[in-house]
Amino acid sequence: MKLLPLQRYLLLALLLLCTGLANALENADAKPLPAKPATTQDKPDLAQGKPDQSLERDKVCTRCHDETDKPKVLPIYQTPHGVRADARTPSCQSCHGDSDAHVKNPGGGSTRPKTEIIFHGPDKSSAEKLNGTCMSCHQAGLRVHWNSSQHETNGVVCSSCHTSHTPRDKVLDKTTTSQSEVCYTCHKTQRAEARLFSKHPMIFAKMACSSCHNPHGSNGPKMLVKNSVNETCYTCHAEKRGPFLWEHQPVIEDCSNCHTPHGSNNPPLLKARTPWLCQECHSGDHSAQINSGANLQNGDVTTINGLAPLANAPGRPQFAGRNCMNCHVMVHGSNHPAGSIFTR
Amino acid sequence: MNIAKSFISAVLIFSAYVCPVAAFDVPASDEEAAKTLAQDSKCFKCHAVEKKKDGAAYRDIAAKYAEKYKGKPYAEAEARGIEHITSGEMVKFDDDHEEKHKKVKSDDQEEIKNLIAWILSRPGGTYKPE
Repeated sequence: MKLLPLQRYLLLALLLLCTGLANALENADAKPLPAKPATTQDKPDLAQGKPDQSLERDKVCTRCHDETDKPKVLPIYQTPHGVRADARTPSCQSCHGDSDAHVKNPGGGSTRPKTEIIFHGPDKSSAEKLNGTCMSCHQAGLRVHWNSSQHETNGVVCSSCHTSHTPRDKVLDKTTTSQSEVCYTCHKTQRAEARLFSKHPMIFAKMACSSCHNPHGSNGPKMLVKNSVNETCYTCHAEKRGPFLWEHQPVIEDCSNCHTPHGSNNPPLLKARTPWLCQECHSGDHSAQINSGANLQNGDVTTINGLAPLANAPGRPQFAGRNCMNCHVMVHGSNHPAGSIFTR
Repeated sequence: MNIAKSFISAVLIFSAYVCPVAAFDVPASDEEAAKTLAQDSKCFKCHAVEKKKDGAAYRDIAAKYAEKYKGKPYAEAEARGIEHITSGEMVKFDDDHEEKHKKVKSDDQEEIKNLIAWILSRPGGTYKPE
């Protein structure tokens, strides 16, 4: 039987309707999935709805680990981890494990068994275990890309950078250079670069590493906070974003074609000094004549374009111009109708 | 006269209870050095100067030694104290379980003696013989 087009559509619609109804009925009969069994790893041991309950559990630990302890542990009560009014506040055991052996010392030895989860020292627990402990609560927000991030795959753990028993976590403080100093303990090249002549103002605490990077991982290269270098730069340098009538292609492609982010001796953060930087692409002769302004007596530079028939004519007019940006001021792009060569 | 006698007796009894006079002369100690060694040896996990934790307060230990070694030379009390913190002998906790006492983390006898002197010179402790 041959169906007309309209009949075909009606038949198809009927088929889809029936499929949808069948699925709906099937789901209506389906029983809810059993709750996933809670484990220490995926369910934090939080006070269950009673804010002060965590303190009750803490007593087991603070009996010995009191104000005389070294390093000091009680300042955790001055941090978000010690907020008594918040039902999510963890107890000591939430992070360090129940550690019955440590508490009871069943062997009676003079050295107690260690706690179940150890964050520092030679007996430190595995990175997976330590990160799992923190991520059991802190898995959302900025940390969604933690798994398989560069830091995670290189064995960095949360406690490598964060301190939870101090009122002021160094890496969360952007008002001083403390965050950068934490990063520099591993990233030593960046420490040196940040002290070059031209740099982002990290040593002045006007910005921090986390202004550009997300140390917990991201979709962008080099763990940048945005998806690309340019997007990240534009968060501050918005005037470079465009759109421009006349675009400078390498600017659109990647700011790091010309700039280096951490520091350079060629301001403003250029990878090389102009005109050499420009000549990496613009290697041909200059199209127009340039008066270099360097007409010294017995000098060898006058009006030049590399073709000037002067006895001592220099080879490259770009050198005579000293700095391309003296004329091409709008190097990032121009919206002027006559700005095709970025001079206005 | 009787009133005066009673008053003096009361003062003496009160003094003996609240401020027990050491039975020996505890030598002067370097407080900072003693505290540092105690801290490094994790003594403060179980002991405090003024309050009882799992272990007795240091001032009570001082009172106990003063009572036990009354009329004896300080060297005896010191020797016992050194033995206690260096031998790893068993100690009983309030819940009746026993553990080895932690050994002090120093081999320097002078440092250890300084720690003992500091502990035994803590004032204001009380001791009630069992």
